[in-house]
Amino acid sequence: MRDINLLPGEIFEEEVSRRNRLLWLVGLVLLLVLLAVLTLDRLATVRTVENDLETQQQTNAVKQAEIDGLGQFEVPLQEFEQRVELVTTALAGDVSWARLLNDLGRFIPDRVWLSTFAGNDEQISVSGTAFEYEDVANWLRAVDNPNYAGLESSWVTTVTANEVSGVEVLSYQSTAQLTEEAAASRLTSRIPEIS
Amino acid sequence: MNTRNVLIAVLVAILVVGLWWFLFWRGSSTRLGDIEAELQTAVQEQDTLDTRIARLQELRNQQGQFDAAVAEISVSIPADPSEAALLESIRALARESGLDIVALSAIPPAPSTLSEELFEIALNLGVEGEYFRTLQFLFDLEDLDRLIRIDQIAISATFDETTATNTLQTNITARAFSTEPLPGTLEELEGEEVTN
Repeated sequence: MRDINLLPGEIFEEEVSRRNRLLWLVGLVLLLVLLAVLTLDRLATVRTVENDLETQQQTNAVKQAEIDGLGQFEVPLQEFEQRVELVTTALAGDVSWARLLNDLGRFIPDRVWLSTFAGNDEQISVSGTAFEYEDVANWLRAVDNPNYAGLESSWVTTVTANEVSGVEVLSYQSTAQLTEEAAASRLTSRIPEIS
Repeated sequence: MNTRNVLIAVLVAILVVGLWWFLFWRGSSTRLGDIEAELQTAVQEQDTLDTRIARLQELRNQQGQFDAAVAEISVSIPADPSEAALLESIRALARESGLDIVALSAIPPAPSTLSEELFEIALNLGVEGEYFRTLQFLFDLEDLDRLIRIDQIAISATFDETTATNTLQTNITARAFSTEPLPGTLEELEGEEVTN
């Protein structure tokens, strides 16, 4: 059943208007409260993160101070590295002539002997004597033998017939290139290991 | 509440929220983002600092080893050119190998082309003896505490009919090193000027 309001129309409109204003006010207050809550929450979050940052910065400052205190222990390392670099530089391209000659003595074929040997960090040149051309060829094969890794690209430049103590022989000149295997390995033994 | 009032209410609410967002929320978000980024950087920095501290502590524990290693390497390349010790070492090696030293020349330390911190002592050494003795000498020279680097080697053989043996004449062009020049030389004075 529908209510019948017998109040005059002005009073009814005033009541509706008051109720609307109240609704407005309540809505506005609710909105402001909501915004205030969000604002306070955000401010609290910012404050928390700021505190975290400050704490972290203090921690880092303490650690940095510790590093400053320990910095002196880098000096021996730097000095060590500097010395290692000097030795490494001084031994760059160093050839183990002892090993090279020792191996040459082991691989030199029969019926061939050397009378001179000269070498630098790139190549060697030798003068030798052999009985036959096959012996000279054997010399080349021996130098290029993969088991004798210190030399490669051997070449005989001249061969001349000669006579030694009444025996006919061949004198030859030969060259060969040094390989990386000819390098001395003493660098590692000169640098102590740090454990 | 009629439609017009609702519309006004919504507009007012949007205006209030918009003002709030513009005046507060936007700025605080930027600030929060900045602080969080700063915090993240600081946390990462801590990791770096921790790693560095661990490394320095390790270095502290290894200090004795480094000092000993530097001393050991310094025997290979000493600060002092010390020609006397160099001559004694070469002479001792030749004697132990059974070789005769027939010639020896040594040029005072000069700045090295390899490194600004190195000085080179150019050596020319002539030794004479049998093949295996020569080999032994060369092996010992490589193992000598003082670093001597052979740059060129020339060997010639002569047959000694009286002993029926081959004798090798070996000429060695080599370099020894130091980290300081000969005291009182021009190089040292120039070095002092640079230091001053």
